[in-house]
Amino acid sequence: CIIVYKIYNGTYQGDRVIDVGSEWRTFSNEKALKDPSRVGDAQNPLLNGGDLTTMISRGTGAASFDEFGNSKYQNRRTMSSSDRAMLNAFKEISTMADRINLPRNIVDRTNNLFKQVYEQKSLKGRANDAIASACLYIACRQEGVPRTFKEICAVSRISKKEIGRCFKLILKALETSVDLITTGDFMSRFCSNLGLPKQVQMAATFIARKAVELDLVPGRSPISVAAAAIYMASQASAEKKTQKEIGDIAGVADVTIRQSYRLIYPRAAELFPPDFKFDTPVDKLPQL
Amino acid sequence: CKINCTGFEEEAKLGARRLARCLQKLGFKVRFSAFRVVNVLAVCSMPFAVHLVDFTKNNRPIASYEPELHPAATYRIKNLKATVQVFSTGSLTVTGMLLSHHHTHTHTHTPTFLAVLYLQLEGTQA
Repeated sequence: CIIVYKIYNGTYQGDRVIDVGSEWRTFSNEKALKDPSRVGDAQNPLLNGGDLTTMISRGTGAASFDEFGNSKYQNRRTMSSSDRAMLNAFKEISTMADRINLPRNIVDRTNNLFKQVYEQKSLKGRANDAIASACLYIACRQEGVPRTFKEICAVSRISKKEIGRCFKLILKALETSVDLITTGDFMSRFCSNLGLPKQVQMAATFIARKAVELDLVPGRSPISVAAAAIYMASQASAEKKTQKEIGDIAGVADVTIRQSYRLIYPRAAELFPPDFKFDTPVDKLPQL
Repeated sequence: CKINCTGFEEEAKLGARRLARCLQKLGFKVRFSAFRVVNVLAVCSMPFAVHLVDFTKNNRPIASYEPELHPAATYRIKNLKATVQVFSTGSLTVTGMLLSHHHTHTHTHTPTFLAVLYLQLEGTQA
């Protein structure tokens, strides 16, 4: 690894190679007092606009502090001022994604989307947080693991209405479209959060899919149908969950679950998978 | 000052005039000018139910359906600058900007779309 020294004197002057020795590579986890590596982490030039500025870190010796105890050498005069908002947004995206434990690939996709939208400037008037939340929603959808708007709302300060608006605007600006959500996308998450066993989850997935195929629930949101299916599956098994519990996890009102349940109840016998072990038989299912 | 009024054409004009009269009674200097129809909304209902998921898949990217946000699929016609909202029951709401004469607009709107949609919905009837 070679260190490139950027000579800055008001204008860019040139590069000079000063060290051709090989680089230290840190393998162990323990933090030695002195990290001999001279270059640090890999940068992310795709997202940050790629400037190689010098940053002044906090001093350790006595000489770096002046009389009042403030650090003598100020840090970071104008580091990438044009992209400061973008870096802020990336930080916000990272925080939001961390709250719901989203993997790195979704975060990277969100950052890319945000960068594209930001550079296009067509949504410049909107709050950056709103655009970031909408990008997060789109990224989850594109990766095949959609999150409901309410789930994104829970980790963001922006209202669902605003996120929805930004979502539509971004799709128009980037000229992309997303796949429609299905009931199966949410089954594993909701069932795990409720602590339901795999059998019940598979049954609920089957019920929801069958209900949509038979068009028993026209015009109902897939989330509501999924919630009703989970309710039916859990009530037929040993692990009974109340509508309120399911509504809490899915973000639907329990009257909504009741409505969708009433639509699928008449044909409950056909909706269950053939190899399902009933703890409560179909005719004893609760009728709301 | 701008007033937006919704309703049938003559009644909307009457309503706007009535409001102007109220303002006049309050003491403001009012002059009623430039009354124009800007937005036309039509409602119609198809005799069949619509499978919104299939409809949206067949009509990408003109159609957009977000069940979490709105229960209808929105279909935007660019050259006429109109939006059709299709509900799963078969009801349609047609909203359009005024281009020329509003009477012909309202009347040509719906039959054209009925024809267009019927052709596309043939395979997606419930």
